[in-house]
Amino acid sequence: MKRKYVIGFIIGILRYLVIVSICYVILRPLLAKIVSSFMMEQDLYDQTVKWIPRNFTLENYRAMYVHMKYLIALRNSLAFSLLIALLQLASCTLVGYGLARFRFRAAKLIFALAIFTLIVPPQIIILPLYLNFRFFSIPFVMPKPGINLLDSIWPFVFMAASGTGFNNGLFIYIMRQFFKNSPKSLEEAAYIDGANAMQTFVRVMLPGAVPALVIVFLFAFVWQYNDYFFTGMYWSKAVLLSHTLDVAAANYAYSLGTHFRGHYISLLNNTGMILFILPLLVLFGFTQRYFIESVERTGIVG
Amino acid sequence: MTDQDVQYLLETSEFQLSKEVLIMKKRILVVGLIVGLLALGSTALAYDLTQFGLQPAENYDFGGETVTIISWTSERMANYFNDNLLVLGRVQEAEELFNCKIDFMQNREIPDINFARLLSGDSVNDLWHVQNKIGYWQLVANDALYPIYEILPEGYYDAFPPGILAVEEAFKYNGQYWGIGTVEYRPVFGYQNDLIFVAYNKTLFEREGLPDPYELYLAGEWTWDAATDIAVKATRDLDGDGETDQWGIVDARQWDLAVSNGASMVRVDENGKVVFTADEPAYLEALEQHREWWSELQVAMPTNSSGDLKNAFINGNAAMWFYAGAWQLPDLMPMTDEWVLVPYPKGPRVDEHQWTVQAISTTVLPVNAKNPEALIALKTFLWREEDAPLNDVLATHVRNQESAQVFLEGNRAWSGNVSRMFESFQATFVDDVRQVSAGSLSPSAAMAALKPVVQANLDDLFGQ
Repeated sequence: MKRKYVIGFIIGILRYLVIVSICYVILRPLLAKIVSSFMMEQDLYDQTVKWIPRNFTLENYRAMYVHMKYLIALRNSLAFSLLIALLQLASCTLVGYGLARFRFRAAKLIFALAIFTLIVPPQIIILPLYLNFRFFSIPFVMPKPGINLLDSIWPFVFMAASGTGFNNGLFIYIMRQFFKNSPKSLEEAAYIDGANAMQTFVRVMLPGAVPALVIVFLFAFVWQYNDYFFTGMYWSKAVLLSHTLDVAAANYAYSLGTHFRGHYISLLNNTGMILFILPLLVLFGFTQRYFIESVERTGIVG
Repeated sequence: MTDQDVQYLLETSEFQLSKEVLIMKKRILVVGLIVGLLALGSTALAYDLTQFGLQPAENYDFGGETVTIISWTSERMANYFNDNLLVLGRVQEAEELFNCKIDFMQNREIPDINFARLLSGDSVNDLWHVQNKIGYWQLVANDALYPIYEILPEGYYDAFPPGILAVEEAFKYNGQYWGIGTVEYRPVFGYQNDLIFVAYNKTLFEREGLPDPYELYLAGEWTWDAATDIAVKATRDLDGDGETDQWGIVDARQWDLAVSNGASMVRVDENGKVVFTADEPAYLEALEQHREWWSELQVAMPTNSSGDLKNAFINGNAAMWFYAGAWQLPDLMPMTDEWVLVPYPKGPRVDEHQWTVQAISTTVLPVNAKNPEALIALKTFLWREEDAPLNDVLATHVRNQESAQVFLEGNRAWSGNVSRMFESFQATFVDDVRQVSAGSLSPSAAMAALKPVVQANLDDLFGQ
């Protein structure tokens, strides 16, 4: 009995050691960035300074807060990402439900095309999309050459609302698989009670799809929040955190007259990155339970 | 002399006359000064573009349209024109003279954004900042650039510092010039910001009693062999724990070493075809030399982390830093130890020191440019050699007379060598040369295996 207890205890310790080691590998870069964000420049050149700053400062945060136009950029990023994520959630859920439950011609082809969008690199479609939004027109409604939608939020709104936004193929796949695995008896009961397809979807299927909705929303929000590629192409003048982070450190270092001090700029970038991911960490803190549960229930982990 | 005598002197006509002359002279001087200042001011207002073979600025007219300057550093450029006293108000002046609005478009997606603007027709008034690693080759090889060589005034480049022409020579494609000189976001126009030097820790050298590389350079004896001897002596285990704490060499890069032996990774052959030449003997010797430092003698700090390597030098743990690029020199200013610059040591196949850079940049026009000469004039008006005073440039890059001389000599003598001109095959190339340095591949075998891969990449890039 005692021997069994000792073996169990040793295995427990070993298990924790492995977990801590893996966590360390993952967290070390983040910890290093957090620590260096509180250092002054001279600490970077002091080889005795590793983890604990000798010259503790909040100046890097103050500088990056100002040069990233933090409050404005954060507000814009959050509002923009929220809007796009909600639109993507709505469109992809509808499409996923349709593909899962309705039999119609070309359903499989549409689903295959949605999956196909996942393997097409964004660089391939960026030019046609650019031209599409530069000369945006709708047959019979808005004649050619159309209007210029670039440098506005509209390209993102249209793409998100039509289920053709960034990684929307994946979201459609997640939703389709989730609805496909839901029991049909629920819908049949709703139909017997006189509900139409939309009522059944909204009142019966959606409440049961919360885990999938959470995961799609979180992915959509975080990817939009982090995106630079599409916003850089279609809305380069937007004051978003992903844009202001890109130039803030170099701008500040240069304004100090320190020219191109790579070390100092990387230190400022570390600070900027902490400020950038802070809202996501807070968001994850609140939604962690739902997130993990959703990943398990939607079967994303495989 | 009594007071009466003084009063007498003051009242005499001779004195009064000389007084009037003096006042007149003063007036002439003041008027002269004002006229001079006005003349200087008017000269500054109407910067003389005719020295470049262009027309005076006011002869160009964009009709009130917007000129867009696209770069991955555009925001810093805009700040430079807003914050720097020497160029303050120049953008506004240019907007007035050229009758246009100037927009600095910050964008990292080069060349995607350039192609997109070109296809949409929005690029007619664009100036594109490009680099050998950022968009240039894709744009020029896909006929996206305006053939400026057809309209460029005779002697245009001659009015610039020689480094500008050297860059354009290196950027030649199909035997023609495509760039009109670089743009900057700080006052270094005309200096090669990516020039690579060797920095050595003079304090460490004196402490260890090592021969001074600068003296060797002056004596023409700064060679690979000399550098190797020094590196061997400098590499030491200081505390006796069996680990090396002081390195002879940090961050020597194989491709830079190859240039110092007169070799090049690629070359344009007699048929105008870009060919892979890193399998030539001079290049193989450089790879072999690097392997000797890295594996055989173990005098080079064995990591590829550029930050750690730079730190080792800044902290005084390395004798020589072989990647002291001009853009990195401000990083060395906080160093406690004294440091000095020298060129790369000479390889066995060259008699003169060879200079190289890690990247080059220029400004190009889109093929659909509506008023190309006006765009060239506008760019020339905005960025000038006089904006980078020599003393300011030296003050931010070097700490002593020796380094200043080497810095200026490098800028004078650099003739367009770029260690890694094409980036499309770099990952494969870097992996293989690192294996050579580690001793797991022979230089000739590695390059023989790489040649068809790299050549196929080049053929694809240039459609040759």
